Amino acid sequence: MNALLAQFIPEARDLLEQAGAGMLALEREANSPTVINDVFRAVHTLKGSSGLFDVVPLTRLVHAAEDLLGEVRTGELALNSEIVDRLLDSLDVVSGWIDALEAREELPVDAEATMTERAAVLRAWLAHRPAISMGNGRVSSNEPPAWLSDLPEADRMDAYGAASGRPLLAWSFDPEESCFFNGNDPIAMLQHSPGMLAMRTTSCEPLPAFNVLDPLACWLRFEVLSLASREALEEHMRYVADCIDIREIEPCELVIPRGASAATPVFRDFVRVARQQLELGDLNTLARSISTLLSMVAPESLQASALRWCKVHLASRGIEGRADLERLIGLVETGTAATPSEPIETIHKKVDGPLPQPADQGAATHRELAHKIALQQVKILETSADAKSITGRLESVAEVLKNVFRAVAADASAEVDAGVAAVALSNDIGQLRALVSTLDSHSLANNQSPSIELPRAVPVYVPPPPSLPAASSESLGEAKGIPRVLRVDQSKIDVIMNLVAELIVAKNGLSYLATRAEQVHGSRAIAREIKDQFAVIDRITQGLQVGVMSVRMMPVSQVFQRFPRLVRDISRKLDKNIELVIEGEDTEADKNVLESLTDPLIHMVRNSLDHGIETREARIAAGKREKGVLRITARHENDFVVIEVADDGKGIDPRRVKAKALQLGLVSAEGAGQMSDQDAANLVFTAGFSTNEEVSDLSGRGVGMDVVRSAVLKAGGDVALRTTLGVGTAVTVRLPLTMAVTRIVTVDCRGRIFGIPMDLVVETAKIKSDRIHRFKSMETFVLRDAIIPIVRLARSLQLPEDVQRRDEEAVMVVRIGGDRIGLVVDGFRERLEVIVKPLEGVLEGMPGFSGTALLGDGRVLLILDLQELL
Amino acid sequence: MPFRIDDNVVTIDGHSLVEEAQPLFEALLGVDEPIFDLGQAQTLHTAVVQLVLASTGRVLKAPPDRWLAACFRDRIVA
Repeated sequence: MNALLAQFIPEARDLLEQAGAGMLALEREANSPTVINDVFRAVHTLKGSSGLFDVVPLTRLVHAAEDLLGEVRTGELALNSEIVDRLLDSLDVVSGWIDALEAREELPVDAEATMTERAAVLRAWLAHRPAISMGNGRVSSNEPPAWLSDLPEADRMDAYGAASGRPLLAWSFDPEESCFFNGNDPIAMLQHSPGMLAMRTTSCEPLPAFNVLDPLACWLRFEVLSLASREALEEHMRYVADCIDIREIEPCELVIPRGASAATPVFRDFVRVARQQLELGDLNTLARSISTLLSMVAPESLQASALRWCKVHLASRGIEGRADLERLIGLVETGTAATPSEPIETIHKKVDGPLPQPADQGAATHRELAHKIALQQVKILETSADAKSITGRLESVAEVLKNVFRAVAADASAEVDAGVAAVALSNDIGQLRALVSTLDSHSLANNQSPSIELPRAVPVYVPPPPSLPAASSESLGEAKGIPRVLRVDQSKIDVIMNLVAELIVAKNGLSYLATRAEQVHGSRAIAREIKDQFAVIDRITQGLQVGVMSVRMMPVSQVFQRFPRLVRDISRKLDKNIELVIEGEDTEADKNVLESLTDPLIHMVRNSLDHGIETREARIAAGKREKGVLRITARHENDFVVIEVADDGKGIDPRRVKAKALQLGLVSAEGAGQMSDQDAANLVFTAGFSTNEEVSDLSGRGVGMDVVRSAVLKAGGDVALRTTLGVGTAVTVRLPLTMAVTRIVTVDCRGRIFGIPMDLVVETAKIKSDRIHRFKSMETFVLRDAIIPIVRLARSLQLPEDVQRRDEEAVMVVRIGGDRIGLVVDGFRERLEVIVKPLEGVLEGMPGFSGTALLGDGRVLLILDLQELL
Repeated sequence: MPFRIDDNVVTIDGHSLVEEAQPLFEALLGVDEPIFDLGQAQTLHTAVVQLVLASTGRVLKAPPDRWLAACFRDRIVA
């Protein structure tokens, strides 16, 4: 399987579980913004991740769910149970598709049809249908985007010319912060996007200082003009459909003259003449007039911007769209649309070609240009003029010179006014010429004029304070609290666990060697050394086992998290009002143990819901709260994890159970008569037993509790049931924390050795034979005021009876179910940790034994299945 | 490694991948007022582009690709 897909599948399941749990929580507390955001984020992430694979139906269905949740999040849609049902249904479908991906690496053949149907159901809830579809549901509008005016004028002009009157797309792209981790390279996507005319790069939000930036978090945003069709663009960006916003615009919407107004009398003259030329259709003369005026005005002024747009318009459209042209010409006169000026280098690029990129070179060139413009103004004054026009010319030149000086960040208004006055009074241009010479780049070098600061092309780097060393990537990660989690294939852990288990068994061989060294070779010293070495290896292997086990330990919440949904669905189906209480979900157990627990728990919960907790009417009639309570708790008890499912329902009626058992032939009439209420209740664990007359699709098939018992016993645990008629029922499951290594104690019986799981052993005792009494047909003895029934192992295994009478018996007290039983053996031996292998070959299916284990001396040990044997 | 630093001149050549972002970031932490030579940069991953933009650096030579070059033209709005 593709490594990326293999990583996606468990992540998708996690996200689906988060979303499902969150939606159930939302049903209870619909106004919790935290929960809404969590659910939305999970669905959003799932959608984004799925975009990496060819699973379009999956992505689209999740997208529809995301849209619905988006409206819930913004408050446009009130959440109700029906919406939750539909969302959960859709996530169930997606969950099934994830299973299919895992099994076959592709979605089912009907996925597209299913998606269409489900997505339509979800979208039917959307309060506002999207005016324009974005991929599959992104809401957009047709208003020109606000950022359009921030695009460099040169870019807008290029796009305007390229569009030739056709509509174009103005679209923005806000990649997700984590997009790099999804394998996305936003700029590469843009480079290959269709029909791109212009692109502006900006940041999504204010940047932090450079030294605390996360280099792997994307914070760039892109604004693009494109001539592509919407369909082509949506297809290209389909995997990030939720990150783009597409607007269709007319080319005229790009015409946004910008700059500070610099109204002077010369503009009025120009506008008057330009309108005449326009009226006459003399576009060539008009174009020349515009160029002439452009050479005179401050390039960053609004009027200069309008003039440049006039030029572009004339060049690309001629007289077509004359109204737009007249509007621009009018703007030159009124100068009303004053907006912040654009970066000056952008303007220069359009007028005089591109400037060199480095800022210092740009500054020098900028000053040279200012000097050039100013010299032209001086030359204008040197040409002859009639008395009527000299005043307007002086005003115009003065305004242009002031603007030129302002453009290089030097206010020389007073000096310009004085120079112009000198020209007016005595036709003396010397003063102005001297002033203009200060703009010469040589004078810049000589530091004879104000310094020039141009806009920087990059954000400012804020160095760290001297007292703070630059943070390393590791400390940054820690500061952000990023959990360092390593996803590892379970099979790899299992391999290590199996090797550890083998090591533990091999370790047992040392103990055997020590015994041989002492008993066969008579070397007590070597035996002691071997035992010392055994102790060291034992300590290390135990540490190793604990370490590996901790990797496999998982909280029972992994199993419990499905119950809120299960209880919700079943209680709605049964029309019962049931509150689920979960406690101890942080309790940990081995992953295999938890997996073995899943099915039994589901059976137990279904039984409680179906048979335990009464209907609303029955509860009210019984004087109970209408709402029933199902409590699932988990806790540790020694080396066991104990799970209890308890309800406050009607309990189990022992008389009804006995009657049903009699009817089914499971007990005799005599047996039923002698049976205690507790024993009667335990009959529900018998295969095929059910008191429910009707078989429902939830339970009542007579297999539920039997399956529970079988699964729990197979996992090395036990199950017990407590019930009180009219009060409720509790089923308790005890499972070993781990199933990998089994601790056993070995016993002798007629010259043979057998293993008994330590989990079942309560204690061992040597009992005087005269303390063993016969009660009815059973031997018993009293242990600390409790009567313990006795079973002789040799008899149970049909081994030869011991003819020799003993003064005392070796009794191992074991717990089977909730009962204690004394198992009489010939002797106790050692405790071992072994790997129990299932019975194979001729031993397969042999009753009374649960498996075999290898001993340190190479012998095979039979492990007793006491539940079955006793 | 497709980038090298000589004094404060950071030259990025060839095809830079996302994997280069972290080492470049760490390297730039030690460079005052870096100057970037991207003239031989055939492709630049977005993670690398944004590091260049976020640093104090100026770009001596823009990448040959038109759209990559466009990334370094405008001032980032902070």
